[in-house]
Amino acid sequence: MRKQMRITALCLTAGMLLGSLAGCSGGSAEPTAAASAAEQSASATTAAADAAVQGPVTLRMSWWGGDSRHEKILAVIEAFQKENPDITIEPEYSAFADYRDKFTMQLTSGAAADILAVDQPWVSTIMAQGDFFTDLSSYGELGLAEIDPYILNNFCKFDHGTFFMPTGVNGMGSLVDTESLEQYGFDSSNQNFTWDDLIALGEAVQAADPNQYLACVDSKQAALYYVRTYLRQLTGRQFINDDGTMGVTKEELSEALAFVNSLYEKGIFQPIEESGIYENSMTQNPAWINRKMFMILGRTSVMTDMSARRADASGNYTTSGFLLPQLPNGKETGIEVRPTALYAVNKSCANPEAAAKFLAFMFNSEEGIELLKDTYSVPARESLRVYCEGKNILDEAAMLNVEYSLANSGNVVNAWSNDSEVEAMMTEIIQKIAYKQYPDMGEAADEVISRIGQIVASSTKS
Amino acid sequence: MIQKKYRSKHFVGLFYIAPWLIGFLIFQLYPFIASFYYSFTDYTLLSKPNFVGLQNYINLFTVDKQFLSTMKITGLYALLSVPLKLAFALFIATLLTAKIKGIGIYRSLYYLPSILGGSVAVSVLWRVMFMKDGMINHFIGLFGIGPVNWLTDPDLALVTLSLLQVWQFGSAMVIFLAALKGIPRELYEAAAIDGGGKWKQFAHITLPQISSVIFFNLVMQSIQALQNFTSAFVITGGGPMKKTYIIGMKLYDDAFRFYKVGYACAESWILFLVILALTVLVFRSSDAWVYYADEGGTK
Repeated sequence: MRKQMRITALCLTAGMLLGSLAGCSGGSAEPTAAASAAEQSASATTAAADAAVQGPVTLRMSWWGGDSRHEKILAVIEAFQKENPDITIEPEYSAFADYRDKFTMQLTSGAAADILAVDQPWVSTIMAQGDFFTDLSSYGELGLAEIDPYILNNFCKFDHGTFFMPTGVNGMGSLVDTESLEQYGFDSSNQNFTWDDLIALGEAVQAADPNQYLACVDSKQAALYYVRTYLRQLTGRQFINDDGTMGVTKEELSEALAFVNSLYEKGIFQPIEESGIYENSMTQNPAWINRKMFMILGRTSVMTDMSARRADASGNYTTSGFLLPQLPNGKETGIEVRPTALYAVNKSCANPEAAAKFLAFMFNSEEGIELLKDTYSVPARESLRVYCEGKNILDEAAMLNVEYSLANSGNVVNAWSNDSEVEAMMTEIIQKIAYKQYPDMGEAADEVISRIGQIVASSTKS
Repeated sequence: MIQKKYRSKHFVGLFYIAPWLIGFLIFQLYPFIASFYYSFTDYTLLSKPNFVGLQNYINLFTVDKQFLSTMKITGLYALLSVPLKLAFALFIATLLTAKIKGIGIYRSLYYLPSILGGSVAVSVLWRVMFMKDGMINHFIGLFGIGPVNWLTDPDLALVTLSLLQVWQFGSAMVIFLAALKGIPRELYEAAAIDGGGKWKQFAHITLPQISSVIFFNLVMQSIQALQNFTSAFVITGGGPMKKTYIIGMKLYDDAFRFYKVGYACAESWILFLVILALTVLVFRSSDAWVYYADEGGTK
């Protein structure tokens, strides 16, 4: 009995322990094998790049998004297939949270879709580690030459080709409940809205009702849209330099962190004990839904996001687009302009010309934009923006925000400053500030600097 | 001839277990060996792994300050959840030994949470229940308590996560139930004749008689707790302030968010060694407290 029990327990223990290690491996040989196979197939297809699509072609296409985006892209696929009965697009879509893991695993195992959506912050990591995508520069129908050069040159083009098609342009600004805020002195025509104005407005909101807060924010957004923007305006430099050293000084960092701390202390942000549960889903916060919060800082896409825009009982939106607050005498605007998302064609795609034809229909045709509407913010091509304006397809505030952002953009954020591990660390630091874990912000800045040192030291990038 | 028959019998046996065997080799043994190799590389998923020797292991203990705190939180989580779960499972199993009408239905009902398991759906439900305006706060509000920030209070969040683990007591309960039903009735009768009360019967008959099952459940549940991932990932996302950032989450983040797969493999091997050491420790200690009836008691 004793022996049997022990043997049973040992066997089960071994099984469970093996399970702990099972999640952490993958096929190392695949990327190289896939890459070389892809190279061969790519060279063959490049030769035939200009050839027309012949015979029935089936392409897999993957993207992320919510239901609204899925519906619109499916409508684009349907319309495209009607015009091109020989080409079938097989959709594979999911929510953003699931997409990245699947995307990476499929890409490395050679099982990725033919047409893939890629988020801009992933690009530098992916491009540095392999040759996964088709060069799109030879496909004239994509209209790459007409795409805004800022977007094309900074985010789509690399030394050896143009590998990404931008879906649209994201600038930065805010989404505000103008009607509610006017009673606290908000002036939507103010073109010089500063951080001090934001604080004064937030204090007025709090003074009127301690259960309402100016800004709807979570700690990740606070790090991204408050600390980072403030630092960019204050210094005009990268947060972390290309070589992994700090781009800002301890004093500058302390000032930015103290600024965010003051937003928590003055009740401009909801206490984290209440808002913390809505981390990564802040627009589901009942305070936002019930018009007890009035402003969201973010990218232009927030101005076209239905859940963020918040409709009232009669179905009208209660919010509209506004500016990004500024620091008087700031070194730059802090406005980051980037593609809403990018699309790439898998290098192992057997019919890149068919894939390019579909991408052209989706992002470079009037029919495509009429179906997509604002699901990817504002088009990256000037002529399509004009078309949308004429047809009143897109939100006017979002269009204005993109134009303003393109005209006033700051530096392009480098790979280290966009690093996901750095972003996760900054989110944690903001939470610690909100929970009052630091006697002074100098200590918080010290921790940030030390943690960045650790991240850089343990990274293969360094 | 006999040998041939013997061999063919073996073959039939192997054939029957082939689905499991293939699954084990592909999904358990291969990743097990591969992860050991990758733990000595800088593998990022996207590029070819380069051998870096012990660098990942050195970084874990010298550079990455998060690792040890994560291990500490994981240990605390197991310490909180495992004894509570075992005690609760034993308590419910004891109640379910009662001879009352419809006991089978009760047993099935109590097992239900374990069928649902630690799935994402249950974790989402748990999150909603423990929100500030959730069901739990409404309930304790009836007694004039709260509301409590179950998931956003840094001191409480880990406790709340542990409660979810406790709630999934079904499998441990079923094993306890089988063991309880196997205890000879005459032992209780003899104790009752000698004047032993219910508590003394429980402490001196029930517990020693089921000690081998307690031992088994302790080992299995501890391993499960130390490997937990879903509940922390879905309910708290490791927050607030990484107070619920258990090692399962760190492994996931390092491997799939930060593309440090080699590093994550090293972490998983450290976790493996820690679990192995703890298991050996519990096995060693079993001589002092586990009773096996067929061997005449503990040594």
